[in-house]
Amino acid sequence: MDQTSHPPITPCVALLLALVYGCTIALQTHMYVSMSLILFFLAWLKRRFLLIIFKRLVMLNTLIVFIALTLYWQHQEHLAGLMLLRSNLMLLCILLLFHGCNEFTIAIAMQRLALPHKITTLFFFTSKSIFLIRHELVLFKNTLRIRGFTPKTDLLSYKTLAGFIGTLVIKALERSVALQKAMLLRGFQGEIYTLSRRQSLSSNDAIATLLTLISLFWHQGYLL
Amino acid sequence: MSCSLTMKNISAARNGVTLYNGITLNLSHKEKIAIIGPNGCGKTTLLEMIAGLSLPQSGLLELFHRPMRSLDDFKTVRTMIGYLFQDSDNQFLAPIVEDDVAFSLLAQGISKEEAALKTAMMLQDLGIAHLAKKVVYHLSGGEKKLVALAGVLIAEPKLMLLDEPTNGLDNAMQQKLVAILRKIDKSIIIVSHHREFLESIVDKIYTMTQEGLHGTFNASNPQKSYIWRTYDGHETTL
Repeated sequence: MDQTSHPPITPCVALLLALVYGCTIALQTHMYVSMSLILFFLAWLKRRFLLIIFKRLVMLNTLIVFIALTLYWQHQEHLAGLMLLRSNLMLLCILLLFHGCNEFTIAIAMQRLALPHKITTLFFFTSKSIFLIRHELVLFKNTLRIRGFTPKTDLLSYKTLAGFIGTLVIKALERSVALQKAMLLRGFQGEIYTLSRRQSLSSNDAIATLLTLISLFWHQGYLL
Repeated sequence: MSCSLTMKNISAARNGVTLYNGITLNLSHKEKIAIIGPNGCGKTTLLEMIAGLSLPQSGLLELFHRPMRSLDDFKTVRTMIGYLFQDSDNQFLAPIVEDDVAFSLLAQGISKEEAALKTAMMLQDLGIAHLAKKVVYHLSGGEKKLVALAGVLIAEPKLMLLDEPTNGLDNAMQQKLVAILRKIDKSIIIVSHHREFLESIVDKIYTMTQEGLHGTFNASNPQKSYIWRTYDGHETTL
């Protein structure tokens, strides 16, 4: 996989838009159709990946729907609807903005926005560790499959699962020790670097910023 | 000939069990040696001690004529030591090949332009220029090893420590690695089980036992001269 292509929205701008949009939507007590204006533009930019993005949104919604239903059964219908809408708008905005961006691009964008190095490096190395642990997870699952393991509700299955979780924890610990060694040996100074040049602002960035502001401050089509 | 490394009566233990006592070793400037031994005998532990990741239980360790008594002492020689990990995935600090290779240079404060130039030349020297924009985790085992090696070489260390460099490499990739390592004009310590590979690179092969290191000269090394391309584009023969 090549990393030569630039995302349609500059990562720094995407981070700022996600922050502004997310914080403002989170504080809203009434929802309007116009708030989704920016989402239509972002969806058009990411139209090739819409199905994947919506699948992710549906997966993320499992917990949100559960909480909304709990509120609904407690006769707090307005709050339930508000929570459901607000969460989905924020999630969809973030998914659309950052789909296709790897953790390194986001970490570099965070660094360029002058966020403390500790936060950016912590973010990057945590994402890297999650990626590597996920790789271990896939390997372990394959091993189980190859060795003819079928999960059941018996003691062996539970023991295997416990052993698997334990192994993952140990592997994660080993990875973190190895990462610390690599940092020491390669002269890590608490900062991450890239050779790629700063992506210049594009017309997409300007349109997205304008539409975000319109979405947040031009209230049309009362929903809730 | 000046010594890159001097070890006198080094002993080490792991989980309370003594690995070895009385390791004595002198590594001359630009000398290439290999250490072989059974699994778990402490070869990697020895490399980690030389790299300053752990301290010996007892004995004297000198790097570039400076005694290393505490982990802080290693700070002064850190940039002179290059370490190639057994598992390349552990070595990568950036996900894009060129960013990872340039990491040590950028961390030293070298300008982006200079780092980019050196990175491009290094990748070209190792024959992996086409991988520059790739994600390191999506490469094959051999490609990962070469990228990791590029990341070590670019910092121009005086002493290179290679831990099982042939792990997971096919024959063609091993031959490529042999050709690269034979060209490198630096002190090198290689830990490996692959005797044939070692014999084509090093001057001396040491066998590690609990009692210490026993060295034999490698008569089969056909290497007569070293050629290494410097960053200004010249080739030097020594």
